[in-house]
Amino acid sequence: MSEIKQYVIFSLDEEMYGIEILKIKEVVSYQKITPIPNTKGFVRGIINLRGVIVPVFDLREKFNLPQTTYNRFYIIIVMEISGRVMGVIVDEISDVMELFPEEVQDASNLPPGIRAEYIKAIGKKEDGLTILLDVDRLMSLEELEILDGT
Amino acid sequence: MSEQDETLQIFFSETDELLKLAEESLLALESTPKSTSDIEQLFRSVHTVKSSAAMVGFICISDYAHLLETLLERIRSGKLAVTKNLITLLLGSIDFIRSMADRVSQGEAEADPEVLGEKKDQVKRYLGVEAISTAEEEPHPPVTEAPRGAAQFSFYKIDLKFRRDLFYSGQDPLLLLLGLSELGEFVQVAADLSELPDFEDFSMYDLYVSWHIIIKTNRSYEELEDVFMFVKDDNEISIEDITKRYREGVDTELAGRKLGEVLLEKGRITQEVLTDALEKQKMLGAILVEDGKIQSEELDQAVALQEESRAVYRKTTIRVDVEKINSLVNLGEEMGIGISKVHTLLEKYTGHGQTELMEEMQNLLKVNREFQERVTRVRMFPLEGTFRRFQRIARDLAFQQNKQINIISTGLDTELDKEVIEHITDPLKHLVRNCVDHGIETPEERQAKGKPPAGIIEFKAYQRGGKIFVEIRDDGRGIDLASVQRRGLEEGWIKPDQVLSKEALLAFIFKSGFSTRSRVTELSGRGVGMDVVKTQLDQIGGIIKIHTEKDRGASFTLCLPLRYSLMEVLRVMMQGISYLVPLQAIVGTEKFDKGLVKSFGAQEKMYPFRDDYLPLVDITKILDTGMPAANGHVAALVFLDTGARAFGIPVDEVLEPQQIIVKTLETNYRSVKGIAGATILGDGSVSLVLDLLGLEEMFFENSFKGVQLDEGEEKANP
Repeated sequence: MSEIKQYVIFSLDEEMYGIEILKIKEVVSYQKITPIPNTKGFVRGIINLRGVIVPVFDLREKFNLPQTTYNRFYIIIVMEISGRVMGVIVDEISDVMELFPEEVQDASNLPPGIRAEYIKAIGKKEDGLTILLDVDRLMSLEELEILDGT
Repeated sequence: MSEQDETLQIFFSETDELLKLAEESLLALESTPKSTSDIEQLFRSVHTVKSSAAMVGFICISDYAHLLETLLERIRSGKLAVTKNLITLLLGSIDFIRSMADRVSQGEAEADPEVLGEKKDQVKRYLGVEAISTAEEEPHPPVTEAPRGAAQFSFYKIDLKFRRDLFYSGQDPLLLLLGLSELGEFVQVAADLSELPDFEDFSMYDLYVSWHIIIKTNRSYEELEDVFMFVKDDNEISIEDITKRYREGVDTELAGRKLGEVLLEKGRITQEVLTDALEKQKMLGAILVEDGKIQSEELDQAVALQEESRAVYRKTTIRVDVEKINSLVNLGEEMGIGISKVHTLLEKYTGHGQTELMEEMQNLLKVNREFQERVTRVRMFPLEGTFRRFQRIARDLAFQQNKQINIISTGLDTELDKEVIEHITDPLKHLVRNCVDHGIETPEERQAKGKPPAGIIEFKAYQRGGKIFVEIRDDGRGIDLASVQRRGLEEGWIKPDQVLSKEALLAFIFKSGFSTRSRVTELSGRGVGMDVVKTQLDQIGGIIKIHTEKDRGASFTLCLPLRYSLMEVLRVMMQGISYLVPLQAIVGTEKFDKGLVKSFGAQEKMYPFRDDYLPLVDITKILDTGMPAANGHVAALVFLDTGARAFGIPVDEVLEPQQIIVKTLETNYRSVKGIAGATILGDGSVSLVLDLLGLEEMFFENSFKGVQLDEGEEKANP
């Protein structure tokens, strides 16, 4: 990581997370999601994004955060990961943050008990701490398959 | 994609296109051998393939194309006549180039050197060996009268017309011919029998026959003349040096001459036969006019249109990535949904500027309707190209089997969704092969049955009532129902004393493992095929119908949806979620009456439908959405027949049937068992389409496996 990178910062149950801005296609407000049968909680269902069927994932479920009833004030971040378009539901988007290389700390030194597999790095800015997500990993097909046990 | 890859990609798609064009012109050339525009196009296509292959470094392709180009140059300059055999060779060459390109695209070597050599030799045979060395000096090599060395051969044309009373002078033409044959190699000997009188006038002491000979020799004119030393004075003997014409060992003059004249000269037919045949021969158009099928003005118009379209057809296509078009179609649909939403809102609006807004809205709706129509058409392609390929297949096959066929294609401009075309190409190909292989008889067989020696294969396409029909018909022997029945008995599909209707018998043709023909040909007749045809059609929601009459032929009619993913469905509500059930599987719907349910064991339920009891399948249990069950209330039953099983599903509400476009979940997610795909409803919401075969499997085969345990989620926590 030798250059400045931009991250979109969003909150999930009061916690701040970041996703690299280049992965993000667009941001839409929460809309009615059609559930897909026989899929585990992480896969929330599908939405219509201008004629394209897009699966939507529930990060609260993934990170074992308390469930909530989603309404139109929630946000769906739509990403394109290895050619596939998919969305994640988040509470709200707060900021776009620029992080210098020295402000990014790799994820090797994390306290035990934290699930590190989806964390790419930690962003440190001023006094805040942001978890930078490894979305490629999080949304990989293999990950989805493990999840479904297929 | 690297730049290199991209260049290759362009090469492959371009070559593919060019070879198609070349093939197209070859087929056109076959019916009109002298069409310069087709020769030009053929030449250009091969030339471009050659250069672009050289550019990306495929030397074998470029070498071979170069050789082909040399041959084509000869056709172009009129030195070589277009014959059926030549066309077959050229079609084969196009295939060979295509196969080389295919091999390269799969990372293999372009061609087996041995095969390549063989293929090159085939072409060279047409060129004549000496032509190769002079190939580079084309197109207009100077024809020189340079003195020939002893080793160089000349060609002479010798016409012998002897006096009728030659025998009385003690001369024997046979001896003269034998003497001549010692001087060189006869390229052609033709006996002219046109002077032969009727039998009663025939005198065995007279000579009626004259000869036309072409000889290849290294002897001089004088030496040839010496053979006829004793007869040349009072007989008509002419010896002509025609070496110029015979540059490549092929009579190049034939190219510019009529077939009849050539045959006449070779003594294959007499002048009377030729005149007679010519009188019978008419243009197709003239025949139609004569038969009163069309007016001559109509004919002229059609010819003019045809010419116009030939010119335009080649100019106005561009290649676009299907993805781009698909996203346009998606956006178009979305825009439509948006506009109709605004329209609904506007109808309720009573505020300022309402009239003006409404007026604009009406305009927008109109534009939108047209836009939608056009956008859908973008994906549609005329069947012309597909039919032309079949024409080629049928032609090649008939040629191999020494059968004669005439192909009639109608409705070439009928348009079909590209994906539908892709899905029906293989089934149609199979049907075409069947027609030639099994349908059309040999010319002898046909004549014995009182039919014209050439069979007719007809391709027909038309649109009727939201469906596209594609028909393939032949006038051959028809499907032999008796042998179908025999096969049925052998396979145990029919009981010995069972009497089946024609339709029921024909249905066996689609069973896997069916074939009535004992002879196995390269392409069809191995008992695979018709079942594949059916499967492929099922996939796109198409139907096939057969009609056959003994010795009158058979026709296969495919009934296809306008668009690949267009499906007719019934919308139902189950526990607050709407699902779409494919209409073709629904046999009926009924109001749910709890009193009629018969229970088996703890879970299984049966319900009477028409004369049977059918199992009830609670889909919501199979399709676990993980959502708390909404207060659903079963009010109706939808009965389905998947072909293998019939069952009923309880639903809360039956809504309207609709036509939808199925979108796959796999594009951005993955396939889900029991779900065929999703669609976007008129209000912009997403609804899932049920996959009945999948559901059936899940219900009937997995029902004993019990509930799967939730696991995997907690694995990271110690």
